[in-house]
Amino acid sequence: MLPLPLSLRAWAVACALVVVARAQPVLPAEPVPLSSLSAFKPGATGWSVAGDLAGDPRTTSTLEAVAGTGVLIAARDASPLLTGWDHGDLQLDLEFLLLAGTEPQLLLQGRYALPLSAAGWSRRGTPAGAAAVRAPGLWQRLRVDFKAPRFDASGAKTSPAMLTQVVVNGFVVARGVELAAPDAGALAPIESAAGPLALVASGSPVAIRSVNVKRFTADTVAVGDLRYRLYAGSFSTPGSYDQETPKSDGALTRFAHGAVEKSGRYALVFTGSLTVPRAGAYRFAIESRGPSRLLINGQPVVTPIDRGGSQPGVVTLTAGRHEFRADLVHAISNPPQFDLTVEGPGIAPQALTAAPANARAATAPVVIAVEPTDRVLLQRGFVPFEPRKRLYAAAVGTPAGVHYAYDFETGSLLHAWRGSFLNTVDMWENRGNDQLARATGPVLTFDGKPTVGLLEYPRTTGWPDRPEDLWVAKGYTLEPNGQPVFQAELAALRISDRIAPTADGRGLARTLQIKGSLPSWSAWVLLAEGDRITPRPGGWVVGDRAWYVDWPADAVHKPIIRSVNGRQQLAIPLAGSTLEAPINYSLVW
Amino acid sequence: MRLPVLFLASAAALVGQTTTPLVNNPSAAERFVAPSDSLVARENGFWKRTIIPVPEGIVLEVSGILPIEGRRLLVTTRRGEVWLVEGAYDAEPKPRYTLFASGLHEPLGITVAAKGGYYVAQRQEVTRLEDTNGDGRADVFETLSKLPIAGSYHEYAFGPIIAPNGNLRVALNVAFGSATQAPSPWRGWMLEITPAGRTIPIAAGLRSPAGFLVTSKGEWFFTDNQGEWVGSGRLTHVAPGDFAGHPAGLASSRLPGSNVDLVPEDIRDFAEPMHEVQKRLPALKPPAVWLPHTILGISNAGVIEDLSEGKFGPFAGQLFVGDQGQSKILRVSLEEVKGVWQGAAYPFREGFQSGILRLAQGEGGVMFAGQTARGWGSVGPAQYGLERVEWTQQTPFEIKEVRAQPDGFVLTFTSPVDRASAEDEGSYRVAGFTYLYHRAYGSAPVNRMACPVRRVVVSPDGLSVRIAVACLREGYVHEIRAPGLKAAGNGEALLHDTAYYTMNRFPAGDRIVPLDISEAELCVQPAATPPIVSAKRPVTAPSDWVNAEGEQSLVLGTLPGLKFDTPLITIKAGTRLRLVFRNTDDMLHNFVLTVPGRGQAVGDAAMGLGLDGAARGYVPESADVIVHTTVVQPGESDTIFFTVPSAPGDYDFVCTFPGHAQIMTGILRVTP
Repeated sequence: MLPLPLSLRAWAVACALVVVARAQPVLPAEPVPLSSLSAFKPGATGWSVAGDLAGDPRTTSTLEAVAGTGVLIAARDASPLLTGWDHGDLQLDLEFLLLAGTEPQLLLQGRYALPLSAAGWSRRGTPAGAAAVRAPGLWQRLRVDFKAPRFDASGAKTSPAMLTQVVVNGFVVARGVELAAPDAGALAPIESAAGPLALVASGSPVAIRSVNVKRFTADTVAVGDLRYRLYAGSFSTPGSYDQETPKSDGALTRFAHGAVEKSGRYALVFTGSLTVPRAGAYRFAIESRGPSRLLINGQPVVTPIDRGGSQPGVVTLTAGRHEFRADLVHAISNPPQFDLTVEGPGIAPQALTAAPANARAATAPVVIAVEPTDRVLLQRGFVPFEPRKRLYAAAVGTPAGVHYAYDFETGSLLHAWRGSFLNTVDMWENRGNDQLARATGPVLTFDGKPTVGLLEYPRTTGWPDRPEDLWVAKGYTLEPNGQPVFQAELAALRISDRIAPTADGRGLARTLQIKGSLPSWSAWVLLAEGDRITPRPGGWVVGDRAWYVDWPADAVHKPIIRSVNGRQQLAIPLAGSTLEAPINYSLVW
Repeated sequence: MRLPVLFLASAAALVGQTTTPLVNNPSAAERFVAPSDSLVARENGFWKRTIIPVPEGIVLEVSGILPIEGRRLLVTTRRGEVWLVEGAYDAEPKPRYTLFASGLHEPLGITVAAKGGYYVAQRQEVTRLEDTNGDGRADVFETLSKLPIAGSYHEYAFGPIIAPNGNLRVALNVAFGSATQAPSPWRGWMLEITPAGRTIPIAAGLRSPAGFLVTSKGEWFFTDNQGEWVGSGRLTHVAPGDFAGHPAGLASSRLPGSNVDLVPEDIRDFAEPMHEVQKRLPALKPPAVWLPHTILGISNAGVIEDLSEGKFGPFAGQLFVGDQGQSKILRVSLEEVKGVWQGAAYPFREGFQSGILRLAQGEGGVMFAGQTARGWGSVGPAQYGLERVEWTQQTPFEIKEVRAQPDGFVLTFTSPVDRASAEDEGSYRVAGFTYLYHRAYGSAPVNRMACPVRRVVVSPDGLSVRIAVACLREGYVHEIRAPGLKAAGNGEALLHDTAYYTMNRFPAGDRIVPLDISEAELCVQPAATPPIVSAKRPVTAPSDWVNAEGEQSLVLGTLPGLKFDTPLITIKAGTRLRLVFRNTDDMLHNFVLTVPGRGQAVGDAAMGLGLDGAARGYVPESADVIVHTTVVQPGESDTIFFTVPSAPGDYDFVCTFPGHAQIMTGILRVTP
């Protein structure tokens, strides 16, 4: 069976290459410099700039700075920190780190509050937000897309402020939430089109880093002088029909392929002008099934991909009017598609083409929810995982609200999450094309590598990333409340693996019980892998303060940190004398 | 047997000289009665259906049924649950459902484990479930054997079934939707698994073996679904080393442990009858019994042997096969002739509430039919359910069994025949046909030829009739109808008057008519029937259209689960339309536009076409049909050109492929 893993590896490499080839140019966000406080209004107190955090922010009540730049630290008595600029529509990315029991928040435009803590999200009635926020002392990511309120000439509000989307640690916790009025704690209680971004610690020490923004104006790109030429037939390359006589041509009022031709095989050329409000870099992209392209002032910007579609492009334009030509080659039987979008300096991503007139309404259910109530539930299904979907896997959901996905082939944890448990629509609706058991909560993803590894050369061998050939999953037993205990064999070792919520519901407690006799190769148990693993009181923090391994003080086993090929593993070398002593530890995030 | 060779040698010389008009293509009305309420009601008088109620909140998409002691059932579901059902035998069942296990991945069968508990086959493994602490719920989920999968939804694992040697067998569906139908080892195989978890490959060439069994005589058979390489539903005998025809399984024939010698390169797109290919490729195993597609089901599934010794009626020892798409049960009798299994298939009961995936026989010979329509749809409108079928002790006048003779057949009956009607040769009609073995999805019946009845001999007790016919062909399915036959005494007609006998081998024995050389004149193979050209399938733009592409083009596609992707199309009256019907599903579909409100009726009429349907693209001759496409293979499309009706209204469009029309419908809204 050796050829199979090899071919899968080749396949994975091929996929990786595709991803590289398709890397798309983007307009960079504007980094907010954190080398000093110069980006902020002067006068704020309690804020400092550091290079990193020292100590153990999971347990301390203050943040301990390491000298340097790049990290903003608020002391407990810090006053609100306001950006030196105002914003309207805003796209904001940042990373933050909380201490226990604190509730810092952001104020968009100085008036619309956005919590950073689980307690803050709970108070707001957003359990998904509370579930997505991680433990104190861990770095977390926040992405906010905010739409500012609009006002007419008389100053009357015509549309409210809106959280278009809020993503915490990769999980969408809010979408399309209207903000009817400023928050009670607003620094600038009167609504207007613009205001500064504020960081409000108010008794809550917090660390902030990697702040990037895109500040958008209300300006848009305008299309004018729109005309089309339609060439009938099957073409392969944009432009290859230029010498032919168009089947039809003329002026257009609606910028849509459907306004010209709804199906059949053809090439369609749109020409016209784009008027851009200011000079700068503009990113154009076309979503199409057939090959498509965009020329501006005769220069290629969006370039076609032979097999269909196109590669977005970035072009620097002066303010004012520019000629464009867009081509769509439609030579397949699928319905055509042609959506042209632009993003520019201060210009939010905008569709230039008209929305399809008869967009198909989704009729199938999107979610078939499975939620544990009185018992622990185990549901087998394929688990989405990169680079390969795990086919011999299960999701386990607990009434405590802490859930995980487990891979039988490696005996490893794939994901852990809190909040909602599982969406089985990909298995239980219609034929279930993907057969996926999808987490519905915010997942923390682990390495998915074998829990027990046989390392031929312990000092130099990296941790295997494929199932051990000798590993045989034996299934699981259920405790009376449905809690599974997984069973497996590896050569002459018998492994039982129990993973259940910790008593405080903030993590997972794992007990590995290994019996039998050790193989001749050295056998190791993997507790965690990351680019770095840092000891802390009572255990370790994995990666860039991503999650914790809590380790009991009285443990028989002594984990060590291996460093091989730029990766670190927290692992236990198994020894005959202590083999059968249970390995107990917790994962907290 | 020389007869077939004789036909072939004579055919060319005799074309055009036939004087006797051959009744080779009787009308649909003569041949098949559409499923009717009265038939269902009559059937119910002999085998009574009882719906086993399912409480709200339980999605009982039955995928496996195991009757256990105490008149209880264990029922597995496609959502991965195992329910203990008590009270399913009650006259007016109000059963109690208790959850025994959950969280499995689409288990498709359950059986008793000798070491305690039960075995189920999930998509990716065979698992033993056991309740060790007696609380009524399984607490052991032991992996007996991992099954190879690549992640396609079509990689079903059927079974397990306990073999006489104590091992388990599973049958693995081929994959669908990727470059290969065998993306993982042993797809399209029947495998045996020892109690220690070791895998022993048994046979290859299965496609979608939704049902299989080992008979009381120790013989293995599986049912298969029509599809690529499988011309029609079928029941195939399995011996170790067999290759049943679907080449995906040959991708594993070079793996260690394989007992199949054929390799993928041995299989070409033959487009010949399977039994003809077998003459050159003896390792190819044609079915024991063809189950003619659209007549005896469209998605044959669970198969069981009647082991009730008469408690379920007069068919003891015969097989029963459930069908998902047509919500019916058929019956099969088998015999071994010259070492080859063959036999006949018969209608048994229809009109079930949903698609039948599983059958099981419980105490007292009671039969249970487990149902799910999800993903493929069914004639029965319910999405899922469980029904019970029991014999009312009333025996219908029915063909009990057909057996082969060297010159025809012996039909035995459940009660004596009326001698006058039975001795009348005109009471019988026999015709032969077969299917093509090719890459395409399914086959129309081909090489049809009538078999004129030459002699009839009725047994002294009136319980059997021997009919000798001309033009009997080895390898062919023979449709045997006895519409004129009456029962002795009350003169009632047969409940079902048709049987389909697959004559893999002519048996030895005495003839009742001499082998007549003049038969050759009668038995001329008709020239290949040209595909029926329908005036209602305009594949080019009418010459008077100024624009050959029409004024508007429309692409209509499919979605899985018997759906058009655009169920409502709005268009202006009189538009010159070019319509592209694109089939992205994994089964056959067509597009038929009808006058308002007549879609269902046209669909029903298409169902009534029976064996003639395929040649007509399942489009009945009807004034209700406005235009239609051909039957489109998966991944292909058909383009038609027509002018949208001038009268505004909601015109129905349907897929009339049998079994689809009840679900796969849409509206063409014509606006002024």
